[in-house]
Amino acid sequence: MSQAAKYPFSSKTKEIVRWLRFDLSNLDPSVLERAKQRAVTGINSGAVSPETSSRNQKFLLTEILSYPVAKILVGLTKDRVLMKRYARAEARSVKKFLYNEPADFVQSLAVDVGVGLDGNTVSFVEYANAAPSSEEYKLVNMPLVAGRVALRGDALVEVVSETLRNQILNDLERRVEVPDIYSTFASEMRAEVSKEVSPAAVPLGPVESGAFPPCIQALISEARSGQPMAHTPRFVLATFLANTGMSTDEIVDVYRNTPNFDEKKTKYYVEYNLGKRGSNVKYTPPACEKMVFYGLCGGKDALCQRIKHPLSYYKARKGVRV
Amino acid sequence: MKAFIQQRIGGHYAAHPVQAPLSIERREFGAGVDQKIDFRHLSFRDERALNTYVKTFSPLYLSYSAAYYQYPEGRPMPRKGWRGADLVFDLDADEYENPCEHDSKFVCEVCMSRVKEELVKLVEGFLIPDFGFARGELSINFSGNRGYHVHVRSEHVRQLSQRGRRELLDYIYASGLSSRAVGFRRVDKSMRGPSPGDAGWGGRVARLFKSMVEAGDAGALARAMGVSLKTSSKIINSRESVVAGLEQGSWDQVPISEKTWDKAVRLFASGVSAEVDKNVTMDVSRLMRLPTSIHGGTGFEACHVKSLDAFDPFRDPVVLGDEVFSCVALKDAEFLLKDQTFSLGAGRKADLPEFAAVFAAAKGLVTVDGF
Repeated sequence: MSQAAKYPFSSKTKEIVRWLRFDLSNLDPSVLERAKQRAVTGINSGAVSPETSSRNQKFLLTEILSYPVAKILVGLTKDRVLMKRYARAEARSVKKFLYNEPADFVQSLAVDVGVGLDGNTVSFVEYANAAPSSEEYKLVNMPLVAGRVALRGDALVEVVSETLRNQILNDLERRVEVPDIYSTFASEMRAEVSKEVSPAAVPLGPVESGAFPPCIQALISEARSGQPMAHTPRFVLATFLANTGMSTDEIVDVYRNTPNFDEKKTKYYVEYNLGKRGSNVKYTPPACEKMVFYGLCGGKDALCQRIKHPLSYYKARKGVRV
Repeated sequence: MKAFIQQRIGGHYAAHPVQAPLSIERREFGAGVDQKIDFRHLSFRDERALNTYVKTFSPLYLSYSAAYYQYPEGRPMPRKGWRGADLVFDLDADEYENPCEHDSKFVCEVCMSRVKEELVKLVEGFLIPDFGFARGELSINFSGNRGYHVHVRSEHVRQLSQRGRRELLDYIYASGLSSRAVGFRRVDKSMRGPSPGDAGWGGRVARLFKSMVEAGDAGALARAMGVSLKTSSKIINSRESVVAGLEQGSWDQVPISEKTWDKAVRLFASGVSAEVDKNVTMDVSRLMRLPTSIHGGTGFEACHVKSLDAFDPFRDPVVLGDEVFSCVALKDAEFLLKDQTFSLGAGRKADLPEFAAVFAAAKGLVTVDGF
């Protein structure tokens, strides 16, 4: 049972849950309460830290069930920032446990999350999708031949936890029919999440373009220059501005000088980015690492060196605690 | 001149239908006359329906999604139900530092061979050996203008996420490469590292280093590794023991400090990495020019390239006919198509065969009588 609580996504745990005929519409409130707590802890602290040392079976069962229910609660918020943080927290906790497990256990769990292991190799597609970001295990530094990555060290732990993270993110975006009580717990959870976590939740005060990071300043000049602007920089700029609390009309104005400017279309895209249209997903601008990748970072200033995200730069300049 | 170009392209399509991409019913299409894409979210159930559309509207630009969708006509994008996407690479003459001095609207043999060089590095250096694609899974197409597209059609790459595609690009660019992670490290007092037979970047760096040492050009080696000429000469002077060491994974004979290694490896790698348009590969809902369609900016066919060695981008994609049109040149210009040189003098009349007339009209070099 303790192993089942550590790895609530494993085939063994799923079997236990199936055997118990767990019913979403008729759930012990203690499970909902614990699920809410699990989500809040994960989102705020970056790890879910399940309590797995108890000997009490009922306690452990609540712990196990809190995993699928927490996913539903986070999914109901439709907030991408929360979803990402929660998925990362679950993955991180699993990774911590896995470092202490024997190799054959890690392998069996890899099979459970659907990783196609062949000996000690996996296909580059699975490896790249899992995308271990540490220097040691980044794809570019792995022995890749004929489409297979030969695993070494703790590479498989990275693949399992990152694959799990992707799966959780997918699950979170799936719609689930649940009783209204879930929404109540979801809003409570939302309210308990630290204000700093969700950029939208932080009152940033009036927009101060002087506090924008150099990359965004450059994009604004580009938009105003009258030169054609590619899709990626356009998207990045609009999402950044939207996240500072700038109004749709003000954002649309920034693009007024671009060739073939179309007010209606621009407005549509901006509202889309804000989550007011289409999928209702609110976007945030890419982190510095991605900005560099896209060639949108024109060089870092002193403050840039200390932050990882353009919005953090803005908050720091505005004196909002990050 | 759009009317003229559109009429000639329409005439071509009447006799030469376009080929449907694999799983046509799952693809989104885009078509344009005034710009590359005037309409998108189009979908066709089969090749016949696609050709009916093409014959009716004679678009100057025709593109299809690398992605497969449940509802290709659905909009906005999330309603389409993304089911995966081919892996695609776009290599364009625009992307590279160009020694040519001509207007960027045009290409010449020099810039096209530069693109071909990158294409060979990508395919022969990475896609086949490292990523393990079979030659038959790679479809290489002329873009119809200034470059090439590579479509990887293996089923298992369709599930590569955006993040995964980024990792793959980082691999091809050697971005994030770490000398330590690929095996360079000091063990006791000995410098260990990869052997030429090793997989991945470690082996690639070792092979490249070995071949440069054997070639014996100290200047080239110094530049490639970012070390002094004195150091590179020392390496070359003891080439036999250096190469013998490499085969055993021993780099003791290479007199550079541990710190310099990381820089040297990265610099070395940047010379063999391949350059592509990253945005195209990353964009999992990108529309790509449909192979076998005509590019309205040149009148060339975006044709399949069967043999890269034999392919001539100024002859093979030129598929329009020889019917002569009388034109008036708007400026002085000279261009070579199908092994013929066409010279235009501003304000002078010129009788051009269809393929040259369409090219010149599309580039704004001539007006055509009657249009």
